[in-house]
Order: sequence, then structure tokens, then C-alpha cells
Amino acid sequence: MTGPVEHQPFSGYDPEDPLAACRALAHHLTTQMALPRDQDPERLIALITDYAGRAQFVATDRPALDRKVIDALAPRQDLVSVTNGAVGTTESAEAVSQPGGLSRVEPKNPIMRADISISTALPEELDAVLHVFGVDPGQYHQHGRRQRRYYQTSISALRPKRELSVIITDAYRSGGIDATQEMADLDRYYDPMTRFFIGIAAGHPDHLNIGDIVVPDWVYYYEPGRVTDQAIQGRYRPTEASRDLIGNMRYYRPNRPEYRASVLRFLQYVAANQEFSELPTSFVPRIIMRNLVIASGEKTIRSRAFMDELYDYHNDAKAVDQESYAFGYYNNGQRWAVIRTISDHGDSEESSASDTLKFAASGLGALFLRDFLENVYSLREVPPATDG
Amino acid sequence: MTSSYCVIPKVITLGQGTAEPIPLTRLVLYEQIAREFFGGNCGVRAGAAMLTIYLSVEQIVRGKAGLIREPIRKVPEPADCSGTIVIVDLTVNEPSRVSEDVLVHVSEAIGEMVSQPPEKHVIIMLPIQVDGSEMWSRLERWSFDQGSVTVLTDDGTVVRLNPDGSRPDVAQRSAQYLGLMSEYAENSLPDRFAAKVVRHVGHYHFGSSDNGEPAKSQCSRFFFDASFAVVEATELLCQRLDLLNLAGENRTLLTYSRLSPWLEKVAAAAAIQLGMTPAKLSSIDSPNPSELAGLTGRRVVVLVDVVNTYGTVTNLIRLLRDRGISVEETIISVFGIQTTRTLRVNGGRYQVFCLHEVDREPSPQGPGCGRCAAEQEHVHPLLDRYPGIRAYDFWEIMFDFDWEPERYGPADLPKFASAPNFVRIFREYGDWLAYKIDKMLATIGVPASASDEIVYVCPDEAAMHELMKRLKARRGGRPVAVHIPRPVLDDLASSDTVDREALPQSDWRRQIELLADRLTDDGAPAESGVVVLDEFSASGQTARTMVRILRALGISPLAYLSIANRGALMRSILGVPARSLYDLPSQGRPVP
Repeated sequence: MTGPVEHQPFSGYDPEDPLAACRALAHHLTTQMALPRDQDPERLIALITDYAGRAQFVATDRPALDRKVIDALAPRQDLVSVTNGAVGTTESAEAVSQPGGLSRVEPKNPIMRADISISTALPEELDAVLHVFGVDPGQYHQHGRRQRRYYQTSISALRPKRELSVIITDAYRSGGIDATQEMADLDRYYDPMTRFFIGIAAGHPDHLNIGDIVVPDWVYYYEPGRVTDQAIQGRYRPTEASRDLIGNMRYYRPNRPEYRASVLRFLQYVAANQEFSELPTSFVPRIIMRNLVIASGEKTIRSRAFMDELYDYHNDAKAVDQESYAFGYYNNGQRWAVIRTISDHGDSEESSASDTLKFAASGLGALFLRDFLENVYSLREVPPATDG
Repeated sequence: MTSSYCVIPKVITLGQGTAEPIPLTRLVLYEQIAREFFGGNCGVRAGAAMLTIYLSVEQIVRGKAGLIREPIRKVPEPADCSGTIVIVDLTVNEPSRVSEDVLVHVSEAIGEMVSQPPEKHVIIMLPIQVDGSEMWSRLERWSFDQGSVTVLTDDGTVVRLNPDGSRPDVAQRSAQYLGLMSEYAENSLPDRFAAKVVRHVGHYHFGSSDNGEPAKSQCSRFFFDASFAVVEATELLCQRLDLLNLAGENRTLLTYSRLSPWLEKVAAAAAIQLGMTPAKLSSIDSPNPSELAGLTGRRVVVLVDVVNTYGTVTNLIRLLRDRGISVEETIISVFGIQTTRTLRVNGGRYQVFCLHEVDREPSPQGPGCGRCAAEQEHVHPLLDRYPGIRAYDFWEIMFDFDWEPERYGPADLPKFASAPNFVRIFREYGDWLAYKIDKMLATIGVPASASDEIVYVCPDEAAMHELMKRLKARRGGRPVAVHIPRPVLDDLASSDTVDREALPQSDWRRQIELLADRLTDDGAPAESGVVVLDEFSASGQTARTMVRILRALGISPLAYLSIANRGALMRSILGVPARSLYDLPSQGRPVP
């Protein structure tokens, strides 16, 4: 048989009716172009080409369909350019004052409403989160005056039964207690529904081991106090993580084989790509979500005595970091939680964690978060689990 | 000093077309089991061949189960460890497939292996109990002075054979082993059920009344089908009825469904297991008197396929009560929009439990429904024979997820600036696409029965791994994937021929060679059930390279299939029938 292969009929079934197909394509084009969002030009071209390829077989209604396609492509006036050539709706935001000098920006028309945001402070923390969530570090969006980087991805979540959009950013500087602008930018551009802060912390040597993952109910800002000739009396300020989110997280069970395998794979990756890793590949992290607070302040702690003091004074302050309080305070009233992995004991100069350990520890926290989001995360309020 | 053992896994899969790599989670399990029974440091031997040992159904049926002896017997010399633990795992198979014949050959191979130096310890994991099996007498023929043999069965029984091969007088039970097996179980029953349910995408009537007319003028985007999950649905139903104390001889399990023929099979199987009587009602509006007569004097447990508005189930209860039939207060629905809901009907209070929560994404018929607005015909779920994806459904899915720069594809060709994210698409719609793949294969003569033991050859890319999960889950794990690494495909892309000798020695090649080595009874090469699969075809280069590689290794694939084709419309590739679930025209090329 000779002639072009293209013209041979399908065997075994009839192709879709070209008219029905073209109606569907024109409808999708109209619907998509009406949305106030960035349109992927490649995808639009593919859709239009699909229409053009099928329309020539449409015997009736062709002019009306063509008109619909042309109308859909007419330019709209209500879209303006925001950043880097991306198209979104007009941006505006209003600042809402909060006590303590921090203020929250009420977002108006964010570029997209993200389901989840993950903030980090250190470069190793960001690298680890991007690695665990499979995000290419070279692919990011930049917004705002400071051109902060935002990495977009999504994951399939079992309980909401849909994809969750995830924004990852290094919105904090290490030690930055005042991160108003960073959080405001995140709010303005992505207005995340649930916000996580991932990274490393120092753990009290009597209570926590290197690699333990902690999710505190409360974060205490330990710096304020009353100074007398006799002593410094602390006047810590607490901020509480979202109860419904913490309740949801307590349903997580870390004994899933897939989670364990992902930990093994990650630690094998660390071992293969770093000269030295303090965490053996057989390591399985503990996840501690009860009876724990994090003490947060500007100090870099390298003193066993100070770790003891914090633990004694702020009951259950078994972990210490520098950034969690600002995150919690800014997000007061929002849905937020802090996930920290212990990378040192804060008890001596020698206890400082290597960059590899910071990466590995942050990655363990990110693996837990990812597995939680994929399998347990719920958008609804859930009653607290009965046991950890 | 702490002992250190090399753990060597021997995973035997029954009813598969060829071998496949052992999953990492399984290797972690074996290390833990070895540690549980022998202590010390136990690690899976790195670099050892990590493929399963397989038998196809044809080999089992034709008495060739002895083929597994040789690969079980072969154990590499121990290196850098004080001992070797060989774990022979048959628990990955459904219990019914583990025949006496297979057990005998496994026992013989193990006996021979352990009786030879150097010292080896063998753990046999079985998905069944084997009290009266021939395997014990086969094992007794060997002495185990140099090592040991431990048999673990599905009830946690641990039998560590005496050095003379005999069984000890008292067997132990290991709660730890059962705990590990439960922890590492691939899927729970609800997961296995969910994995086999097909969520069809299309334009469906919703809330239809008994006479088939739309009652509330609603459409739905999804139709849920458990035709492939009858076993799992039966098991779930039995568990639920047992839990609710609804089993028993004086009860009738009554089904009513218009669009789910599988429901009767589920009810019949459950009724047999629980000593109930199965019955069905064909119509609520015009009930068959003989069907109703059979229910008189019985306690009726109502089972329906799906509840949405609860209108149908309310009408059903009302009908039965009006006819004086005693209806149990618990109603079971296989699918439903919420786990439980209480109904009040004719003064009675009824609790409707659903086994699997679903969302059909309903919308009012008319402009509020996108498909109605696009003038798309309704599709009847039982009569729809279209094997491809329709334009509306395809583009709806394409707009569900952002496209991203094409990451895979031939290295020497330019990549698309943006392409569908098939990883996410397969996660969300993989069940339906796997179903469509089977339907499309049927149009080119690959019967559904062959799909159980089919071998899919595809690029080693994330999206194809995701799709393979769905294809395997749909067929109880039996289809096998052979993933060819992209660098291999790139190296061979520019040549018209592939030299077998030049192909690298690796797991994927071994998988194909094992398939090619299969012979029929008269010594001729057995026909292979190999299908070449890819997510996206454009230039056709990857497809041609995969076909050439297969031919170089002695395999003639049955078909080439892609999810979306953006290149020239292909009907065959190098003589292999080619199909795509959706043909996306490139500029200047018309479709249909």
C-alpha cells in the first residue's frame, strides 16, 4: 500500500468527532483566557494548533467556532505587568499594625494563593528543602524590591485529594528576629494558607539527640527581662503554633516504609556527595511533637550553662534557635508551625554543626514535612490525636 | 565483637513476565528481619544483582517451576562480613499462587545451597501456612551443619530446622516479625482497593432516577468503577459487615444498582463467606414481585454501589418498608460522598456507611457545567467504548497542572520550552490512563487477559515510574516495567542499528534477556508480551531506539503506545503498531 501514513484510518476504533473536539478546544481557550493569571504561551500555542488541526474537518459551525477562538484571544485591559515580565493582577497591599513593632501585610490580589509556604534561614536549609521537594535551584521567580527568590512546586496530597501548591523561600536571614519585610513579601505575593518554617536548632544535650526533629507547641522569645543588681529576671514572650495544624501533625506516624526508604535514600545521597556525614545511612530520626517549646533569641549559644538556664527557666525549652519567634509572631492568627532538626547541642564552641550536618538535618525535617503533607495533611480542623 | 552479616535477598515473583528490581523498602525490611533473628550488623550486600526471580503463569502451568532452582542456589562469596543470610521471600505473591510445586522446588534449592560450604543462614518467608506441605520432607533430606534454615509463615510462626533437617517439636511465634510485615506491607486493604478503582473522566449524568432519566439535572465529571477491585471490595465489605454484626444465616444481602454490574459479584462472594443469602432488586419504580417475595421474612441488609443525594437509597428503604420487609438499620454503600450519614425514612433511622469516600465533582446540568457549555454529549459509563482521551478531557487535564520546560527527550534534539508535567498528571489521573492504555492495546489485538503479565519497556524517567505504579496496582502488581536509562537511549539515537554486544550489562538488559530466553515446550522462543510505552512522543526517536534495542536483544514488541503524540501521526514504528491516547497536532499536520 502506498501513500502517506497520516491518511490511513485508525483500526479498531473511530476517532473523536471533530466538531465535538473543536467545541471543547474553543471552550477551553475561552475559559483559560478569561482567567486573571499568567498564561503559558507554549501551552496556548499547542491548544490553538490542536484547534487548527481539527477544525479543517468540521463540516458545520466552523465560522462560529473560529469567531469564538478569535474573541478568546482578544487582549484584555485589566492585566498589568508586575515583575520580571510575569503577568498578574494589579498588586496592592495594606499594612496591619501588630504589637511589638512587627506588622502583617493583608494581601490583596496575590500572584497566586499558595497552599503551603516553607521558609528557611540558612543556605544549607534552603538547599536541603529544594532537594527534598525536587525543585531545580535554578528555576525561581523573583518579586519585590529586594528581588527575593521564590521557588514554586506542588505535591499530591492524599487527604485533600488534590495537588497542593508549595512556595519555598529563604525569607529569613540567619539570626534575624525582625523579618517583617520578608514575611510581608511572602504574604503579598503568595498569601499562603499554611506556613512552615524549617531548619536547624540546638538541642539540650540531656533531652535531645542530633537528628531529632522537633515540632514545638510554643515558641518563647527569651531575650526580654528585668535587670537588677542581683540578677536578670526573664520576661519571655510566648507565641503559640496553630493548634489545629499541630493537632493534624500529631496524626502523623513516622513508621511508613516509604518514609523510612526516603530517609535512607536521602542519607545515602548525603553520604555519596559529601566528604563526611555525621548521620549514618541507617539513622532513623525521632519526631517529637509533644511537651516541647523552642526558646528563640538573637544569641548564638555555645554554653552548656545557658542551655541549662533556658531549660530551667522556660519549662520544656529543650531546643533553641534564633529565628522561630519572629516567624511565629508575624504569623500570629495564621496557620503555622515550626519544624526544627537538632544539629548541635549549643554547649561548646566545638559543638557547632558542619555545613553537611546542617544540610542533612534540614533535609530530614523536610522529608518529614513532605511525607506529612502527602499523606496526613488536612485542610480541615481535626481533633487532637490521643497519643504521640 | 559484633557479628556482621551480608544479607542476600531472593525475591520470587509468581505470575510475572520477567524479573524486576527489588524495591528499596523491601531491602530495608530484609535487613530488619535479619537483625531480628540473627542480631549484629546486617546489611544488604551492595552491588549484588537485585532482580527478582520470576515464574510466568505459563511456566507454572507447564510444570517448569524448577527453573527457579538455579537462581535461588546461586549465592556470591561473602566479602567483608562474617556470615551470609539469604532471605527467600515468597510473601510478595498472592497466597493462591504459591503452589506445592513451587514450594518443593524452593526447598530443594535451599537444601542444596545450605548443605554446601561456606556457611549460610536461610530465612524463608511464606504468605501461607504449610503444616502438611511436602516441603518439610524435602528439606529433611539435607543436613544443615554449616548453617541454618528458618521458615516464617503468615501467622508469625517461626520454625528453625534442626541441623539434621527435621522440624523442632515446638514452633515459636514472633510478634516482632508480624509487626515488621505489617509495617512494611506494601498497601493496606483500603489502599489496594483504591488502587484498583478506576475514576473515569467524562461527561456523566448524575443522580439519575430509577427509570434512567436525570432526576436532578446534574452532571458529574467522574464515574467510579470497581470492576477490577471485586476481591478487595468483597474483603472490605466482609470486614464491615462482620464489625457491625450483620452477618448470619437469617440475613439477606440485597443489592440495587443500575450502573455497577460488579456489585452483584461482590455481594455474592461476601454472602458466601458470611453465610448470608444474596439477592438483588432490578428496579425501584417497577419492582419485580418475585424479587420482593424472596425477601419476605428475612432481615435485609441493603448494599448499593454509590450514594450522592441519598435519594435512591431513601426510595429503596421506603419501598421495602412499604412492602413489610424488615430492613437493617445499617446500609452499606461502596462509594459515597461522606463516610457515614443518618437518614430518617418513614419514622425509621438508618445509618449509611460508605466503604470508600469519593467526590464525583457534580455540577448543575446547563451553563454551570463546563462540558454542557462546550456542547459535549453525555457519556454512558457502561457503553463508552472510546479507547483514547477526548479533547475536552485532555485539555482539562492539561490545564490542571502548570507545564514546565521539557526535561527529558533525545539529547541531540531541541526540547520544548514547556511540556505537560506528566508526573503530576499520572499521580492524579494514572488509574484512568492505565485503564485507557489497556483499552487502546485491545484495539491492536492485545487481549485484556494478556495485560496481567505484560512487560512495559519505557525510558527510566520519573513520570514513567509514576505511571508504572498505577499499571501494576491495577493488575495486582503483576505487570513488569523495564526502565531503559536515558543516556543509553541518547547514545544509540543516531544509529539505525543496535549492536547487542555494545549494550551495557545492567539490570534492565538482564530483564529483557530473561524474557528473550524463554522457550516453548518444543524449544522455540516463547512469544513475549512486551509493549513499548512513553508519556510523550514528538520526533519518534526515543520510540525507534527502544524498538531497536528490544530487537537486538531478541524481542519483538507487540505495540508502541504514548499518552500524547505531538509529532507526525504514527500508525507504526519500524513495523510495530503504534498508538497514542491523544494526538496533538503539530503545525501543518491535521488530526483526526
